[in-house]
Amino acid sequence: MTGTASLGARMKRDAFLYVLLAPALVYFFIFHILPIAGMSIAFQDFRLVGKSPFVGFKHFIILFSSPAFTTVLTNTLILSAMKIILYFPFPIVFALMVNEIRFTAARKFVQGVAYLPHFLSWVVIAGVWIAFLSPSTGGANELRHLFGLAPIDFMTSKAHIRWVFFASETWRSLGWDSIIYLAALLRINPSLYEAAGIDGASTTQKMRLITIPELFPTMVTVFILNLGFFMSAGFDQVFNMTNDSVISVADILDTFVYRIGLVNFQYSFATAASLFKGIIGLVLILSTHFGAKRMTGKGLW
Amino acid sequence: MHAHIRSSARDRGFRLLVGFLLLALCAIVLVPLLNLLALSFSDTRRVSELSGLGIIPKGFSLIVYRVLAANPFFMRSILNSIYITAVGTAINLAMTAMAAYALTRPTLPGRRLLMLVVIVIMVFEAGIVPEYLVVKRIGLMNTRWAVILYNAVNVYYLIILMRFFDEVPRDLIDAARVDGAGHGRILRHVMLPLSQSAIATLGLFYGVMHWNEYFRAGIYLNDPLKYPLQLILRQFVVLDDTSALIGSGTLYSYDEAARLSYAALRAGTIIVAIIPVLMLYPLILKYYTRGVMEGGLKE
Repeated sequence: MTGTASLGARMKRDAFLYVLLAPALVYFFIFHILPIAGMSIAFQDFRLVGKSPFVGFKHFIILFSSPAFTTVLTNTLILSAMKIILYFPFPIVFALMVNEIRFTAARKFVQGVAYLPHFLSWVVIAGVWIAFLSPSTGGANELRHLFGLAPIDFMTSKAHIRWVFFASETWRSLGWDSIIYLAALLRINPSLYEAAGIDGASTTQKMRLITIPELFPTMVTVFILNLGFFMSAGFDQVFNMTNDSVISVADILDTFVYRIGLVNFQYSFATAASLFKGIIGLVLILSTHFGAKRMTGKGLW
Repeated sequence: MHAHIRSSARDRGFRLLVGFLLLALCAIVLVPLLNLLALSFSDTRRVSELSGLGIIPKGFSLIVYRVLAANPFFMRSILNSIYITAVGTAINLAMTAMAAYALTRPTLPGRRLLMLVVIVIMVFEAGIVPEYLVVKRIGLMNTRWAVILYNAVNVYYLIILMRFFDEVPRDLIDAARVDGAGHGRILRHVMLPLSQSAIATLGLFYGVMHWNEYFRAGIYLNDPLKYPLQLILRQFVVLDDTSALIGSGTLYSYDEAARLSYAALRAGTIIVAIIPVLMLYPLILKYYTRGVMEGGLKE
């Protein structure tokens, strides 16, 4: 049908596509391409006025030899492992449980409640959790009191803060992350269950022999794609739930970069840390994307 | 027969256990939120009676909300948040829809190169310092534009919308073209009406993103009169810094407030920040669920 228009008219028409695209391209250029180009300051001693001298890998050498960096990297990897590997089965189990609810109204209620925290900001969630974990008035310690246990100041305890991160992340994301599994469950052919029912299979048998195998490709996709974000352990959460007493176990790469760069104004040093994180992240995301695409046909794009 | 009865009894036990666990999960999500709601409405003299697990206010009082409503910084921050959310979401939707349309046209010259740019942006982040320096250099410091524009097009949302636009039947587009419609009219009268649930979902997501934004506001704005609500909330609730909310005075300089507890005031601030999300939430559930069922989202 496009053949009805002359070549000149078609070119004019398609030039208009660039008018539609222009605002997005300008945005990409200013807020993404320029900052990526600006990462060259990692190899300079950045100065606000005048020329910034080239210093090679100086900032990287300082970074990799600093004990603070080792701590921060370790914290990032531990927290990511908790949030990606340890957390992994929870949304699946939740989806399986929701799938067992027979009354539509009850099902909708549970889903409605479970998805809600995903839409709250980390500032709000931090506020809610700080109140709930308060050693004097918080609900968590009231529960401990019921069982005769002494109150714990979770937010300032190095032994507990990672579990606070884990629990609040689960609180926020469990429901939301189960959606992809619920959608996969809906696609399972009901005749499989009917046939199993006729053969006398119990609920648990049906789950083990039909549901789990059918969910397996989705599990693989989700797990692999999440691995791509291993270097970002969740800036907003840590930023809002950390205080000075736990910083040695809570500080992650992104909070470190923020503090070095925008609090201490060591722009070049902070950018070197960002570049390190970005390159590892890039390798992870690309390999997980192509890995997932090869194994399941679905990647990030 | 006997085995069958035993297995169905076990099934019932299993179901009961699942029901109980789900109920407990709902309680874990709701009780901390309802507790803050109850705290914010409790009679100021009885605030300390409320258990950390209580969800029914002790007595009833609106003083927390009266104090907040009388606070110029707080009210101003709500207006700032509404402004940033409204303007930001409108810009997001317009730019994302236009870009998604252009990028899904097979005749777009240089399409492959442009898609490569989109993917690079998706997989590689410059980090906060270079972005900060760009914002500084182009003169957006201490303007709300920095907070509105830093995420003007979310590449993930762009790709979602492109998938929807790809699904629009070619025949419809060709028919519109034969009738003399250009790209602008095809976008407005064919693509957008056919992708309503996707547009609505993205609008809601973008809206929630802007409403919840605090970090860019914190680094780009230095005039407290421009602060959005989440930033005031962060200073007061997370950092326990009352100066942004109350100014240099103390809570005790307010009438009636000699009896008001900071805990209740904090709870009220959190509740106010949640309310708009709660108001949009039924719409989010409706459109997002429809989107998932139609198969284009979260995959």
